[in-house]
Amino acid sequence: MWTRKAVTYAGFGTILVLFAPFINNLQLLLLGITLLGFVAIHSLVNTRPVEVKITRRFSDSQLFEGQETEVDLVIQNRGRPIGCLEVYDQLPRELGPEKVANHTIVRLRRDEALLARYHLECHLRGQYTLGRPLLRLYNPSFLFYHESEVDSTDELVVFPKIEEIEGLDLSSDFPKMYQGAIPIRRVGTSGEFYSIREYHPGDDFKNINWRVFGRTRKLMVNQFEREDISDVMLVLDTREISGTGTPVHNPLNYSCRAAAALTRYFLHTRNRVGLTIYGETVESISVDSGERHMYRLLTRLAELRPAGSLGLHTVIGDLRNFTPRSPVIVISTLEQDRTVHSALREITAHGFRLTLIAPDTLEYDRESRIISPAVYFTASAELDNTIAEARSLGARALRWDPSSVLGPALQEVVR
Amino acid sequence: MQVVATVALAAGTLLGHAITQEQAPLLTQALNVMLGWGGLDSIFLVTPAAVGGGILLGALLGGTLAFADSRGRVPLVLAVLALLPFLLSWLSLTDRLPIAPVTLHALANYGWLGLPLLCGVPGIWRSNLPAIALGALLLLVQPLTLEGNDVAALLPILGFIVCFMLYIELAYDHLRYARLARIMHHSTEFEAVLNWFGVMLLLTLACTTALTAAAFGFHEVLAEVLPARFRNSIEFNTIYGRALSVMVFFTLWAIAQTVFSRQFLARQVE
Repeated sequence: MWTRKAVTYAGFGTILVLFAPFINNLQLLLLGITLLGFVAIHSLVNTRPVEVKITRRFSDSQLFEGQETEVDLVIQNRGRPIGCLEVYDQLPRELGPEKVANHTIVRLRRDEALLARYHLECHLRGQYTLGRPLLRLYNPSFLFYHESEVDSTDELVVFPKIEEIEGLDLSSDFPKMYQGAIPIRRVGTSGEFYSIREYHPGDDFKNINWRVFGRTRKLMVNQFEREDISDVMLVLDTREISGTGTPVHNPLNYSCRAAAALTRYFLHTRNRVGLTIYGETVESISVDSGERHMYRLLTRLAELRPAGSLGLHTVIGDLRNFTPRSPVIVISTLEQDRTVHSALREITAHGFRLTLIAPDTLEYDRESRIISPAVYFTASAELDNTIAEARSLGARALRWDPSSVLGPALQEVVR
Repeated sequence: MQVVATVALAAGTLLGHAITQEQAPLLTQALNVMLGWGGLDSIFLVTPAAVGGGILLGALLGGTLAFADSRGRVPLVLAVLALLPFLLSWLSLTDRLPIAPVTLHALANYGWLGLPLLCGVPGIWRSNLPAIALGALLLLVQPLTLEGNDVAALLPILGFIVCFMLYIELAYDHLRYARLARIMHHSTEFEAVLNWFGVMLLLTLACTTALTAAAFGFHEVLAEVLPARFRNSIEFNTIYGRALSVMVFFTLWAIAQTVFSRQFLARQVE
């Protein structure tokens, strides 16, 4: 391809050659010839197609929102020597290119391999495709260029940010002892010692630690670890409305973060966790435990995009097959869902232990002028009403401000 | 790169005027005529000493402008430069400054002759494409005369062309590579690319010289090939004929390159 410079040189050279005779000027004639000759010579330099292979290596195999990773771009020349090659690694908009130096210029000798490194800041969860890298081959004076793409793509999954949750009791009143109870780091009634505390009237005498009493003359009782396993079902709202806001500040993102934090918490405390997603369709991942299951859930959470308008009632059918009287945690904005009241009633009627988390970005949306004050007040009042109704049904309901930490906010509700 | 471009610009200015020698350039004559309309003397004269003074003054003022641009004070310096001639004239006329009018006329003459450097130097050092282009245009146009020139001034002409090409190439490519360097501040390969550019520029300039000589000499080859009535015609044996021979040469080059280039053959195979 010709650059503007080449066109200018060729045009100017031709004009000079044709114009010089009119003023009998050898200087201009020779300059015109030189310009044309320069273009002609450069059309032969570093313009032939090249054979380059590009591969990527990531410093981290698992990435979470807000983390940074190093990408090593291995550029390997498999053909003729290349003087000046621009390499531009195409990145999804969410991953760059504010501070990302995914653009480099290299000189490659025959069969030479070079490493170009850049840092990638992952602000937003998602499954991204990196590539295909663009190559632009310039000749030394920028007169001609040749552009091509290298067939090299890589998948990068950025999991939602996971917040630490501790000592939260959202599990069932009816633990599934038959599966083989496993001690969890919480106060309970197993034989495994957990901690020691002062005696309160009503405590069982057999739990009094007589050794400590003998030493300190204070009545202290032993506490034991609680043993239970619950099946926990997370129900996640991915309707189109949950994507309202900015790409980073929207209810769906916060819902995914909450779901990821709860997933990790429950799985680490040896419970089994399932996930039901509703929005465009209803999709269920059945309850399971273990590290592999956690990454399966996190990957699904990373991929979620806001779409559809199916209401909460569409998940009732799937919940019927779920372990009775187990905890169900609904994470939803609750906005513009006419079925939410009946659905909540039905879930509690089935005996599930319902917890409702409503990520509230209305305040942010109003301050950013995404919604008008009138819409804010209406939506806010509606959300309060729904929360109140859920509480009246015996559910633990939380209007969660995503700027605050989820764990303590949930603990307030559980108490 | 920038230093060589500046030196090439200064040398080009010197050689441009050396080609025309004692003839008065068209633009200089035009300025004198305009002064004559105002009842003033012709103060713009092209002499070797004046051209030397012009180059020095142009480089000084151009350097000042480039420095001012780096500090963000171009409008202020331009205003001072615009007002300075009037101020000096007024001070001189009111006997407050011991500078004779003749000296002021010489300064104005230097300023005019140093105009390519005044534009080109800030262009080179501040990577400003319009300023580079204006400098190149002035370098080319300022020494033009109506009388023309021929092979008698071949050496200065060749020197001028080399300087012109060096100036325009180094200034423009510095601008491009500086832009790339800003993007690729982390790249360790940048030095290697710059070295490659330097070597390739010298090589391609040498090849261009050879090709220019071939294109210029193609007229003689064509004379051998063409029938006698063409070969002996008046048109063919003037600079017009030579210009047309050059165009024929590059047309043949373009055809040959299109037909025999790898891309063309590859497309035929596809």
